[in-house]
Amino acid sequence: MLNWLLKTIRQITFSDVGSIASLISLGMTFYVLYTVRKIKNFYVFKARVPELTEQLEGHASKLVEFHGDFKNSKEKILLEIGKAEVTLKSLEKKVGRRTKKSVAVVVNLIRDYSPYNQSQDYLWKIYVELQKVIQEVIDVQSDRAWENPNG
Amino acid sequence: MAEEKNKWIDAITKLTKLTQEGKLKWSSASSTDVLVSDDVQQVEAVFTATHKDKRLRLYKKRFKVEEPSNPWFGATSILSHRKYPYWTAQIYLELVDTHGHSLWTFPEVSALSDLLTSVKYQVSGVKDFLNDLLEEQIAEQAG
Repeated sequence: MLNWLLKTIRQITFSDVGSIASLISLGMTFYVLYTVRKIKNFYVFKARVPELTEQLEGHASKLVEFHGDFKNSKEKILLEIGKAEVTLKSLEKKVGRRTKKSVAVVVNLIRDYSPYNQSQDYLWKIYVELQKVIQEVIDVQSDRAWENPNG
Repeated sequence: MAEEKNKWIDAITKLTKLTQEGKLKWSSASSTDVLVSDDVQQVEAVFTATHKDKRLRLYKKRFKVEEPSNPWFGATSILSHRKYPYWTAQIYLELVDTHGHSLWTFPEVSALSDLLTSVKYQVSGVKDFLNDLLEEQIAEQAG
């Protein structure tokens, strides 16, 4: 076994060493890329997600208010759910797969808020699902509060 | 876990809806002996309602957070850029007995803040006040 190893080592040429070094450096490049991406995502999550959550809470509060005066708030509702959709799309890029699904549910509900189903009950459905997303994001933030970006 | 939280959100948003529709009537209550306000915690307006023979109590409590003595937690405060002492608040929704003792506290979810806003709106009578004010204005303009 030892003899075979020594024989193999002796047969390695300079170009073989170069090839092995290239493969190692390629692997290291991918690892560095992965780590940088992970660190970037970590800081984007830490900095932007709390801001976006706060914005969503604001949209949700306004939707409740407009729900209470539905007849006189139809245009304001359209404007507010439009803003909420933009915030949700921004949030979607910064969260995990599971939360992405919950965000997609609300985005689809908002898109279906057409002149045919602009009812008070449908608005309430959007509000409830929006609250679920907010809570999910708050819980994820709590879970990740002590996470190490390099860990 | 998420499904469990969603159940509470469904329940709390339902209470908000009932409040908005006037089907759940809240009233202002005094801060009892159970809810103590002192130098480190302050209880804001307390509201009570009865729903299906269950007594509900809703209030907001502010807490003073002092600088932690533990050096490890002190280090984390540098990261959070907090200046001690600071005040933080939490909204509580509880099921209470006839003496005002808490029997069950609902989990803290973001939907509670909208419930409190709806309750304050109902109890303060803002809607009637605005309607009266605007009717007066219309009557003045007509006269």
